[in-house]
Amino acid sequence: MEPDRGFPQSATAHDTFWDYMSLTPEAMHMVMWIMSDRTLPRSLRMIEGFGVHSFRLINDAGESTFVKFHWRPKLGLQSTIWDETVKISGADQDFHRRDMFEAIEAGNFPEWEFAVQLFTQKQADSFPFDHLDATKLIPEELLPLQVVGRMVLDRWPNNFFAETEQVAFCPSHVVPGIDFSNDPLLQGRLFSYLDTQLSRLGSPNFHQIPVNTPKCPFANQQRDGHMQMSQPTGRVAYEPNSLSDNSPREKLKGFHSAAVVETGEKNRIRAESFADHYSQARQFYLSQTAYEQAHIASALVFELSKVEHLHIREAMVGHMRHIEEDLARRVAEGLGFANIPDAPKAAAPVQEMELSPALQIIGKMKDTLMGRAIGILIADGSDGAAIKKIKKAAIRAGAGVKIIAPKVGGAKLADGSMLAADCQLAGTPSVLFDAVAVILSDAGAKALLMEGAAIDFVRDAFGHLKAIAVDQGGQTLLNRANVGPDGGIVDVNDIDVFIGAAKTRQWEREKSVRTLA
Amino acid sequence: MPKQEKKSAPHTDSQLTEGGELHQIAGGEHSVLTTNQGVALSDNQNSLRVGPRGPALLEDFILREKITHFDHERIPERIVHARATGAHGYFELTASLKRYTTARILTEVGEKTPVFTRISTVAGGAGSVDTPRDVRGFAVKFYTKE
Repeated sequence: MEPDRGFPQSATAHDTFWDYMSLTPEAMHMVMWIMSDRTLPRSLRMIEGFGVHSFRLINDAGESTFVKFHWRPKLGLQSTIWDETVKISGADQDFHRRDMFEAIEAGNFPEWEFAVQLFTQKQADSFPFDHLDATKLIPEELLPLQVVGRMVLDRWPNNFFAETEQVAFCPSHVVPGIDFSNDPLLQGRLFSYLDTQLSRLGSPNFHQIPVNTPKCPFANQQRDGHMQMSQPTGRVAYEPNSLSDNSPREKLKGFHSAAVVETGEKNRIRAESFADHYSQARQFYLSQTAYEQAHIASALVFELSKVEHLHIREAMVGHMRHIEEDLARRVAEGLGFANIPDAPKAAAPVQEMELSPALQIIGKMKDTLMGRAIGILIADGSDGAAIKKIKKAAIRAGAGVKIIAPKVGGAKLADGSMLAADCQLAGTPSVLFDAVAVILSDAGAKALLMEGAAIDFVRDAFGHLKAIAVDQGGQTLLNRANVGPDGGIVDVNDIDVFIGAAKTRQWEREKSVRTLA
Repeated sequence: MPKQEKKSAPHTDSQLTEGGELHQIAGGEHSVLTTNQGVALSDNQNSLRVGPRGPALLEDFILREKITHFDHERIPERIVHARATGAHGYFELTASLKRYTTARILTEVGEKTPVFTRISTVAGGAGSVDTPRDVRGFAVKFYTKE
């Protein structure tokens, strides 16, 4: 059941995962998402969330409407470069957690818009896919999102275990007016999430753990069980009863399910409408920018190159032919195949869907430094005025700024004053920042020319397509690292140009720093 | 980030004994250290033993309580979504969906509903990194009024 787990004796995790994928063409849309930069978020504050399944809303008249729930980050979407992601994992395994913590501590509260896609059964019947199939999405170009609320996270848990670990989420925890669709994955999850809490938290009384306790009144006749915290009184532990004047009873307007007629033969069977395995995978791939398509193809080459079994690599490339012939060609070439492997038989013909630019990440980046981080590398002899100027501009643009020096105690600036550092160079690679400035005296630069961490700092910033601001000393370091020149490398005095470049990544640079599939 | 230097405890509250270990004594803002049953501890550094270099005694209920709690501190981690970050916050409705639903959380504009949100990876264990190539879980618990 867990093809992604367990080196070495549950078999090599990598081959088992891809073996399973290659035999499950239903997963191809998901494979496109996983291989895209969607799975490499820059920050948890820069990801979208959505309820995956269709749910139902039910109004006062008992009429039901299908709904998809969405979260849209206020800071826009942003991802990291794969090489950068790998290095972040080594530099700070709490990278996302720290980012969220520091944002909340600084009062930059993470925020998402809450939006819905509403549709009727009639509209659902007109979609060229089955909305009950969790491998499908409803493109927002086909059914626009209505923003109806927002979520703000403004308080850190007091205790990780008590709250983040013990919190129990269940898709079945709904209020009257919300109901479920027949999505089979949702139907299974409605059981699974309650079941898992029983074994994980050890008791049907998990709702009594403070983080799980409803804030609304709740009362019933359920009693006893492991770790029972409440002390129900009286002889009545059943309903209906005539022996109590104040025991809880039903409410006419309580939770109602949507009154939907369901008929059918009892059978283990999957709907034909679930047989379209490739159309939305193709739509997702074709909707991306050229840079993002190259990242998907390159990710497939990277991952499949680690698959030891040739037949699994071939099978995956075969699936790609149904998604997009050029994608298959690029991956086959990246894997060193002489020929493109045959495509498997598709269960249903691949449909041509309208492109959905809303599926891009680059298209959803925001022109802002809010939530981003700038690192300024300094050393003894650096120009304090230049540091101050760039720091001020970055903060004004919304960025967080950190000073990095060879020693955490700080550096003695050109004017003789000491400037404390936030971080030591050796432990603070540039992968932790969205853009960097390197402000060094000639002597300071000379001392850093033999520091691997300093060379890597600028080489990685360049390789990860970041804006770099430099003065003359900083340029000396770039020269040693064989970095630049290009439009993203900016003189430290051109503050506005640097701030503008820092808000994005230098996508055009990428072809000069690595081979993309 | 540099943190404020921690204030060291005043030496008058502490004493070293013959074995060289540090004992910090209750007083001022420091409450009395007790077992889970409220028994005040006179020595949290040494187990009950036969002579200073002798074996430990099973009757040391204080040591056994500590060990037992430590041994049982872990609960099964989630089979998926074990690695996560959580935070408290609120949900605020800005436009009513009254036409479509009776759910008060989706009909009462301006109402702030407390939430707890937990964003996770899927495949890695609780001690894995934040940044694998992985799908993210995005779970929100609404503390609704109904």
